[in-house]
Amino acid sequence: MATVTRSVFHPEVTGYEEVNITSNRMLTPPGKGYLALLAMSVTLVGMMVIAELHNIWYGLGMSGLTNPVGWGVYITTFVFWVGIGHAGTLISAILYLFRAAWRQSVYRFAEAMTVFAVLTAALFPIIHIGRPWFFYWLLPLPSQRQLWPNFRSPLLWDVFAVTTYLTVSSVFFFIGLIPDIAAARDSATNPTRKKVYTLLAMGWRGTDREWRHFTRAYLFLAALATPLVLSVHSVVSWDFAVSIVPGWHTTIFAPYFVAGAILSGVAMVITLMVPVGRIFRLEKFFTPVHYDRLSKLLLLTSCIVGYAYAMEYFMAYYSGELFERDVFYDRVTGDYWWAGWSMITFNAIIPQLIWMKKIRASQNSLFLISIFVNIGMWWERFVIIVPSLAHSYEPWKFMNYHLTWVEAFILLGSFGWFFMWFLLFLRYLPGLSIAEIKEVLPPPMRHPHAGDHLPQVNHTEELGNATPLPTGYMGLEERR
Amino acid sequence: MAGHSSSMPTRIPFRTLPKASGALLAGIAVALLLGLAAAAMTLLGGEGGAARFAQAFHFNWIFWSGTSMGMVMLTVALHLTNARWSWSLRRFALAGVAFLPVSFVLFAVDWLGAEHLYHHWLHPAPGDHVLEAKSGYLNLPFMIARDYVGLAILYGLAIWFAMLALRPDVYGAAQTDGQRRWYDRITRNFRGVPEEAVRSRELMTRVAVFLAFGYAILWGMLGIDLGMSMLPHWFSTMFPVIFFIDGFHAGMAMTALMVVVFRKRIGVDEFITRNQFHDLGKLIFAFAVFWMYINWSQYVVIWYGGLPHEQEWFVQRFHEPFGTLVRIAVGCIFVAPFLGLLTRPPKKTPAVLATFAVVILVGHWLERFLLTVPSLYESGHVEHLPLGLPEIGIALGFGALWLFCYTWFLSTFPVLPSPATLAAVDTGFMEIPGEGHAAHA
Repeated sequence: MATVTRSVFHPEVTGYEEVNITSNRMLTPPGKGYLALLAMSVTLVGMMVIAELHNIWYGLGMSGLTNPVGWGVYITTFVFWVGIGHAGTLISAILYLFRAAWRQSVYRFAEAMTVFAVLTAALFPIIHIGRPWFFYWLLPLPSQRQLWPNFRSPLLWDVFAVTTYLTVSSVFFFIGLIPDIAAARDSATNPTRKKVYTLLAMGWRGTDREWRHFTRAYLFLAALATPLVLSVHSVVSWDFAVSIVPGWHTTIFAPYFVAGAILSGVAMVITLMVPVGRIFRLEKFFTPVHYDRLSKLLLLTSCIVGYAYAMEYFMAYYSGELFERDVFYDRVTGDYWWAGWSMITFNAIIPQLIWMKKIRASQNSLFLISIFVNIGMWWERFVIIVPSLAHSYEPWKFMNYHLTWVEAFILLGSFGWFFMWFLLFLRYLPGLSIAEIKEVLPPPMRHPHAGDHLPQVNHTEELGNATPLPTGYMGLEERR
Repeated sequence: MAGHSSSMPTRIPFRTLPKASGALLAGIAVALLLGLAAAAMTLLGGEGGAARFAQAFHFNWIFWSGTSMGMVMLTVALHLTNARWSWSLRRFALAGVAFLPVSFVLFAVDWLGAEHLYHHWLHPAPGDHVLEAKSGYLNLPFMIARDYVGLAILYGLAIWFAMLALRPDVYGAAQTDGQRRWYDRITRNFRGVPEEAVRSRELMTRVAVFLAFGYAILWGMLGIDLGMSMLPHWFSTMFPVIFFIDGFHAGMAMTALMVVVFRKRIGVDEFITRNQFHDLGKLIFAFAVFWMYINWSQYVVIWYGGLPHEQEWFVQRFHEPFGTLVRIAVGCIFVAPFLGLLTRPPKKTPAVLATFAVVILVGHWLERFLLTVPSLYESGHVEHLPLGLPEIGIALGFGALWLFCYTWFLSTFPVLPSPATLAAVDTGFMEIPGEGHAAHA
């Protein structure tokens, strides 16, 4: 029987043209479901604006922050969103360097997710400072005040880490988009769209020379973005770890936070991928291979996070120190036991289901697990921040934290803000990487076996006349 | 951008390391004798007596065992990540498995020095509540038991993994009696070449997953017992991670060195391209950076926290005479490879890559010394650096044993995988039923 060669990643994609058609179809006017989601997101953003205005007008006392819990939902949510922002760059940059070909169809929207997640995260330090119009005090700007930020404070390291990450990931995102925006430009019929795409495509024509420069730039940006994946959340972890609050002050925090960030980010990728795949009918591009690989990444990071949890508990015991032991014991038995157990169950236990092939193969169960992880990772940051502060050292200063409606609105609004940008992205920019998906498809050829003439890595010199061994070795020739 | 060409050679010769030459064997014998002599002289009171021997043996055991295990873990990682580029290099890493049984036996010697190595917690000062609180974990019977069980599990899995990797290749290929004995054992109940190739691949994946977990958990546990507990008030959640990454990185460097040294003698030179050296170099570079990252992450938290019981560890090590060694170790493991392997040509030039591998191995050897020995000395009261002939002599002895095991593996088992094994690797494309040509518009 005649056969055709197809990519294992996209067995149902017939050829290059289908990629362009699908990508362009995503840019056409969407259905009602899309508009409903967008309206919901905008409503949530409205709630956030109201709450924040309230916060500004009446002051930060509108939140539940007080002594000893001076960091609450705002910082929790900040860390949560910075964490989400890690998977995109991991998939787009690190897997690019690793030449993991399955990333091609997923990385574009994962990268978009990264940029918007970091944009969302950036809101929170500004909200948390209470007087947002003074946010520029965080920057080392020369001023007549002769006042410099404290460079020895990890909070300032954060400012640098997050802004660097935002810059590099945005540039990387944009550079990667250029050839695809050019494709969108070429097929755009709406004159306004055409103008905007023309501007954004920066005159891309797809010549050899342009591609050569493009691939170089892309490689270098990927190499630059790779250490940032590790550095950003490491610096965020040091916001906590360099202090001596028991529960914060532990050396494994940097890689533990990075693994947690990737876990939450991959979970968010799956959370977005399942509905996006269905709404935009991308089954041919988000194939079982992609879900399989992503779920394995989720499983791996979940195990690393589980290892870190276990190590923290073990070391709290091993330390023999009263305060260390107390705070970790309190996490699972104290007032916040429910949060502590949610974090352990959702992040380290439930993802273990992915070991089962059946679960990995089912989009619905993966979607469900990813939701659990999203929630669990928010709780993880909450558990690290709040109970540690509420229950450290001397019992006379133990006091719990109470969420207010202002914080709840801002938390919900952050999701609205994130989804709003994400939905707009899907509608206006190519959500599939047209150029890179084509790289994993077999090249279109007039004769199906023309590929056989491609240079092969071969070692065809004669290896003697010896008879081959049962396992196909060339046999035992005389050693030269 | 999609990746390397996935085409694999189909004509692969069966090649092993030729019988070890007289010079090599003589070298091994001399080194072993030197090691034994150094051990005997140290024990007889030459330089610090039994205590000195115990600490020298201890960190050397950690270094050579960790490196061998790290080499196996490199193969495991390459298998799990489906790293097709590494097809002709993997056996060079896998061969580290041959030292594990020896390491298991030598582990018994290490316990003979327990009195010297763990005296801080074996005989705690009266009224030390912290040590009392952790005596449930830090007591010798439990420690010996868990470490032996851990090693048995880990080494057992590693040997099983190696046997699975070799099984589809060695069937019917024995030339010498030595080979036949092993090949028959490995290929018991053989079911046919293609079936075994696929089955091996699948089973290896399963064993590899357990090994990956086992390595992180059990080798980390060994790190806590053999390294961290020597300074029993000190604790750091990062320490076990540093301990197992050390082994992995040293294993990588040793693999690169062995590839460069033996590839021509075995006659597999033509199957190892500059691109493969490049990739190996990138891995070594990346883990040099990662090593610095985890060490820095541990350091900055402790430095900034400023708690005396945590800083004790670094104070001990930063004071002379150990301070200089710390700088040398960081220079060897991170600074030199970072600057030297940053660009492309050094990674692609085998001799240069091997040189950096040696530098890294020296760095890791010093690092194992620094992780353990300074804990036994009172900071600021160390007159002579306890690193000299006994340590180097014992290292030579270990190295001789290691090289003997390693070359035995290479001369017994095929260094390149068979075409049957390679055929079980997926290529990124698949054939599906269809009409005529690929359906392009």
